[in-house]
Amino acid sequence: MRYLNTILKILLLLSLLGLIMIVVIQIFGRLFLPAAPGWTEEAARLSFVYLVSVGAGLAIKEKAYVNVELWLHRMSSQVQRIVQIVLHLFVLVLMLLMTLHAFPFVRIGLMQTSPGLQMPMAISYFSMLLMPVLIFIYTFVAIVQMIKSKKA
Amino acid sequence: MITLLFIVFFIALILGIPVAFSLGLASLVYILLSDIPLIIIPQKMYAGLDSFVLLSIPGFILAGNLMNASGITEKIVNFCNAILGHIRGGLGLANIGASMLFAGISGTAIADTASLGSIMIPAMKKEGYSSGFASAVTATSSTVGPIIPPSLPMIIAGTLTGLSVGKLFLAGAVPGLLIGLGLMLMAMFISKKKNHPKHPRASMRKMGTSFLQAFWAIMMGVIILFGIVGGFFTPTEASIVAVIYGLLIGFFVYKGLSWASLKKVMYDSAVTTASLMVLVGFANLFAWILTSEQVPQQMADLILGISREKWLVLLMINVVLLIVGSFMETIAALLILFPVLLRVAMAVEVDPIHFAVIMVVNLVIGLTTPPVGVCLFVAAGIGKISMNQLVKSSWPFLIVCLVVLLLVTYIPEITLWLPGLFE
Repeated sequence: MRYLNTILKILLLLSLLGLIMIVVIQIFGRLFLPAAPGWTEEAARLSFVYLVSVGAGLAIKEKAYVNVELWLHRMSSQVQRIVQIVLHLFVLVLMLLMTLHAFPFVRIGLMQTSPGLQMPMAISYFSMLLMPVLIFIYTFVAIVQMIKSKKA
Repeated sequence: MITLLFIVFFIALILGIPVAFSLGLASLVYILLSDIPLIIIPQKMYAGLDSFVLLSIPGFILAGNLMNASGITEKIVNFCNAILGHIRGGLGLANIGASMLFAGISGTAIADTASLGSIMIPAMKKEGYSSGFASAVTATSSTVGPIIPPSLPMIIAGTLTGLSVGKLFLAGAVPGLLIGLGLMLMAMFISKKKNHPKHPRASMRKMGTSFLQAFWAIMMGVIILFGIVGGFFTPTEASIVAVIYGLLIGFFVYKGLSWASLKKVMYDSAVTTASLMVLVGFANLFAWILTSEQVPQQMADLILGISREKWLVLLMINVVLLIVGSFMETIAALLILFPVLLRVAMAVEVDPIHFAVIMVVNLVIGLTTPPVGVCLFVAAGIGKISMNQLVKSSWPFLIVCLVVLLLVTYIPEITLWLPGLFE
């Protein structure tokens, strides 16, 4: 798990850096060259969707997803823990189904080519497979930790 | 069927499942029961994320966090103290002023409450202000964050409808200033009654040096706004220019940034972006279902069936939005309701830019009202008081926000005047 954390962290920082550099190139291209290179917008989008899908799992670990706290924080820690485990299980099911149905989506992308970079769209579409897989893994880990530590 | 979509969504939300996954689960149940192929989920999520304007969000989040990490908050507070501190209740006024300046750097309200609150609330308590007043001023004034540009909700509104983000930014400026000034008047009034302390008048020299210190931070907002409005940059380019600017200022002017803190700021910003964009993806799926079930049309018919009077329609929309805003996260509510309600508003000839501002102001007010006011939660945490106490101290400020909301709703010039100058 520690390896996965480190790898994802590096990928996440790289995709953010990539996004920044690509847009910088685009600005320079437009200001100082006759025209911005045509590939920048598409490349920026590509690094953006990967920024999102790689960060989506880590966001579970960092508890970054916003939820509405109406009543749970007033319950005893045991109740909180059990409810949290059940709620995480729902997310797990959602991610499992999303993962299964992301495969045909990626397959469609194999047959399409992107207009700017001339790459198969599957490379972009793969992010929609990676995202539920990573959220699944981190949600699963969170459940295991809650069961083991006896805390919510 | 569509009723089931909403029931599942609200149950999931109330149980405490994150908003993004509540939208996902509700959509999943609907899709399974309607025999729609599940491949629609990755398709619609991808379509929701694949927009060039959304690309500006990581940049704006990162730029704001960079400025915050380089120690900008204290400099803004010092500057506001120097110019407002000599008035009775000066620290409270400085708190509001700092929120307004901070709004030009960050695009969200929670960041504003957290970073200013951790400095201002303890400082105000030390000078004898009550915890309630200190926390209430902090929470309510941070709502100007998403109204004064740059603003994440305005970017989302622009993405959804193709409205110019530059114009939306400009349109929010005057309403944001009005809320800030209104809150200041209310704070002065309360401070006079409670005889809050004031500081001796700062020397011109002190005002000058504190201004120079804060100048570089204030410039960031100016660069973003004029870069976009002047047509030099797209919003995405402006956000990256702001990041580069933040790096230069953080490393070479304020010198508060280090490589270690840079890595942490980048990681935090990326994770925040990811969690927000997963929400955007699911909301796009949810909104697609609503559209295919013709909910926007039905909603429009329902409201317009009650009345076609412009003022009454706007009033009804405001009431609905205030209620929704007090339960739901701003971005999620915007993603689902903006396209729906815009249709209604345009049927009674409300300008779309004007309507976007009305909607954002409404939803942002919800950040400081119970039961789910995130800014209240954060401020109560820092001020170490109960929600009930905080709500008691907040209501005079909330009334100010509502008055400004009414002005913004019924006097379109407040929003449209500034963007009109750049036509």
